[in-house]
Amino acid sequence: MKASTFKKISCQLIALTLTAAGLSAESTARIVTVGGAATEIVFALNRGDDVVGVDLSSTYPQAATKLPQVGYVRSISAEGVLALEPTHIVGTSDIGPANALNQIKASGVPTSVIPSPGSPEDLYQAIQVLGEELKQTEAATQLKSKIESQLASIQKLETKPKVVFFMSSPGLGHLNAAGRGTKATAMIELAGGENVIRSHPGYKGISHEALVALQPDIILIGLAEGMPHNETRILDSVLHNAAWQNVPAVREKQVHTVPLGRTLSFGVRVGEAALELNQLFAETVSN
Amino acid sequence: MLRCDNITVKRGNRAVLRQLHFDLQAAELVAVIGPNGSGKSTLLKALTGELALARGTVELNGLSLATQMQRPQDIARWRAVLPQQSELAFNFPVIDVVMMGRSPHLARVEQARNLEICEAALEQVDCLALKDRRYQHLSGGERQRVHLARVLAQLHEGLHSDGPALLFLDEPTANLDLKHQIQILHLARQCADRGAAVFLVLHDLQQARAYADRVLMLKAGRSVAFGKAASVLSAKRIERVFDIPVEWVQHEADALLKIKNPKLNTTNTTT
Amino acid sequence: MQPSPTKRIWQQPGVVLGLIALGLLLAMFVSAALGDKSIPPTTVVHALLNMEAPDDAINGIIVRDIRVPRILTAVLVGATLAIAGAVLQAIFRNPLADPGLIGVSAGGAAGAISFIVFGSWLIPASWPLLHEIGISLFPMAGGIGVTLLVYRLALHEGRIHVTTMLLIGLAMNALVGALIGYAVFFSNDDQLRDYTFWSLGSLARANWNVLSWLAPIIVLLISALLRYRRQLNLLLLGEYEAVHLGLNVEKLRRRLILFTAGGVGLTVALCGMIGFVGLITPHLCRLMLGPDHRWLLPASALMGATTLVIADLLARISIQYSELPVGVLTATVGAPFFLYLIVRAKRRASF
Repeated sequence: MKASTFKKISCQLIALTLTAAGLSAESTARIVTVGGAATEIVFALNRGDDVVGVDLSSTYPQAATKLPQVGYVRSISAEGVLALEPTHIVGTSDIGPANALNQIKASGVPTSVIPSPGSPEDLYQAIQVLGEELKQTEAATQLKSKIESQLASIQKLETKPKVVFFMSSPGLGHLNAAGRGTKATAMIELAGGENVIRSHPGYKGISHEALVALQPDIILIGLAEGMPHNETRILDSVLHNAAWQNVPAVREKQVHTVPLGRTLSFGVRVGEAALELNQLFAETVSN
Repeated sequence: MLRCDNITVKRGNRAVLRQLHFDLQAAELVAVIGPNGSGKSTLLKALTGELALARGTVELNGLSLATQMQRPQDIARWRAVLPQQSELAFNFPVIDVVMMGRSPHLARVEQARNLEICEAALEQVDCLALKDRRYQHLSGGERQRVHLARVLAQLHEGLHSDGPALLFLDEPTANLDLKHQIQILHLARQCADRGAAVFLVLHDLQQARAYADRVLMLKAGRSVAFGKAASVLSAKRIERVFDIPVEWVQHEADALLKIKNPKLNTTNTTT
Repeated sequence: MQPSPTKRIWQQPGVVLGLIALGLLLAMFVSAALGDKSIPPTTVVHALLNMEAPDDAINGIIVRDIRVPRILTAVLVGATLAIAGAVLQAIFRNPLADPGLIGVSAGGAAGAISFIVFGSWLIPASWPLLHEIGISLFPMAGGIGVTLLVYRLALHEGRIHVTTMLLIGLAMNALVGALIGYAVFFSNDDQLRDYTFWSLGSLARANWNVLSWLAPIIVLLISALLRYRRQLNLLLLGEYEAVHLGLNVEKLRRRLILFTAGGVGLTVALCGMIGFVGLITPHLCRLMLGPDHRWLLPASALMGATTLVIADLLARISIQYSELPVGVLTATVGAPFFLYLIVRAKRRASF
């Protein structure tokens, strides 16, 4: 065997070994994601196969819902997370309780906490940070530009439609309206509309009269994914409410249900969700 | 031992005791009698500090009751109270209930001695056999006797030495059969003979005359008479206060109370 | 009392007490050995003895920094709730008194919530220490306030009116429900979720920092309460009977309420509302040892600690990788037990 051939083969061998080692290192990575947006981004950055546990608020993608759950994002179990023997933990900033987070950090497992996104800018930053930490910078750049181009194609509306966003809880039939500082407001504005409810922060019940007074052009009802909903009944309860027959949205039948997780998570589907709402708004205004 | 000066006690706005004077000496048994609602138990509560005085003063050993009550741990060493009914919602063994009577003395007297005193007290009330029984398994009469043993144990030092002893008994015979009524009155008498001042609320006039040195007769919160048992409990006065015609009949050494006309005139028996 | 010679060995108070203590130690060790992560017992022992665990540093951290502080907190909180229950039952002369039922816990919760809602307005955020103190003091004050109120309202001529006592507890719980309602209305979704989990009761906040201030306070409280064990027996005879036996009832009661309600308020601030430990454990101890507080108080403390350690263990391991709020567990067992006590009391008119 010639020396050069030997050198070539051995180099290839070493490279192969290194790749194998790299691959095996890749396959032993175990990630626990806590918070819907964190889970979405990690999966979108092609690391979904390494995720070994998620929290209850992680409802997308479908694969994530089949993984072991470590509790709800605000009340995770420290030992539950550590028992999954993670090599990396990714959470959104609402991860809690503080004590559990401290205990997890103290265990020495690398822990990344991204801000719980409430705007595209937050999301871009989270994608970039996680791209670097998960060594997926390229995928991160691609993901970011995909969302950017989706958001860029949103049409500016001359007259902003007046929107009311209700949060529906399954079975209760009770509607809470999104007010100031909510992700619903941010999403409505991103899609070119205007949330007419400014009287309160957060999600609160409003009176029947308020809707008559505010005269919204469009009513959105957020339904949580994975919960049983009687969509027709919910829509009918709004459309057939005698007091609201003069409300434009009801008169023109502009009452729509939207999937909550996709619309409000400000995760990787924010572009799609905003585009879809934007189209809905455009149709409403042109009518 | 005990002096009671012009006391008035009110429940709400209504005076239930008015302008009472009386005293109780060491080695003396004073019985309080009167019809239902005349204020006997109220008087006992006022004298033991359970009810506040609207007017007047009560003095114990030359000091006002209010002053003495500020240090209940001191007064409890020589004054004991047996209420009409003691409730105990938890199931203690009998000996433990009696032992509670020793609590003012626990710091000075050793445990074995306390136990002896309690057993002796149980013996006196004929209940030593019940020592390890649970309180709530006892009959009403047995419970009453166990509580009497408790106050006897509490006053043990005063009754067996020269120290002061003051005993309040609120209708101690109420739930008892005849034998145990007599036994308890004997014990009360014995306490007085040993130097204690005994204040006894009683219903039975004949028993009052037989066991008391002096008798305080109440009607509607006022003192009707106070003095030697035989003179206070005259047939005439009983007839007037209790609204029933009676006479005393002498049988050997004992005076027996006889009701003259057992047919009562019901229109007159309001109390 | 001297143990009477007729009593069998396992009926003697000292022996029973020792057995409960042994049970507590066993429960503590089992709890340290079990969890979402299976850790070999030898590693657990190594970690407990503070030796570096040979195979895995994470195991050492899980045992030493997650499980052990939690178990110790369960011991302290369980002991406080149980001994508070036993003491309140003596003060109210009724075996149905429980910190949760008569509203002490609710008062603590009201204190905590008022502080969470209004404290941030009153105290500048730059004084975190004041917040730490406030979040402990307000629940204590709330617990003490409600207990005094219940006592005043339920006391009539030296006797406690039991129905009134329980109804006032009901009213206090309703009032706190309303307070939480206000807090929820003015809070964002995250705070709302936090209230919910907190009110269900959980030991997840336990860590060595918390223990470093909680342990001395609780140990002081419990030893202070144990000093009154003889007086508590007298209190069972009745208010005036206790006075006639030399007890300064008014002073004693004020102190006992201060200590018990303060202790319960403190545990509420830390762990939310964990109900029924104070009801069940003194009752079980009474069955084993009788009503004598000289034995009942220490036994209740030990038994309460054991109960909460076991309950928390179940809360941790019943759902893999998640945990159930421990208050939910204690209520699941405690509420039917409470019903049973009431039904039995109706039949026998005694406890």
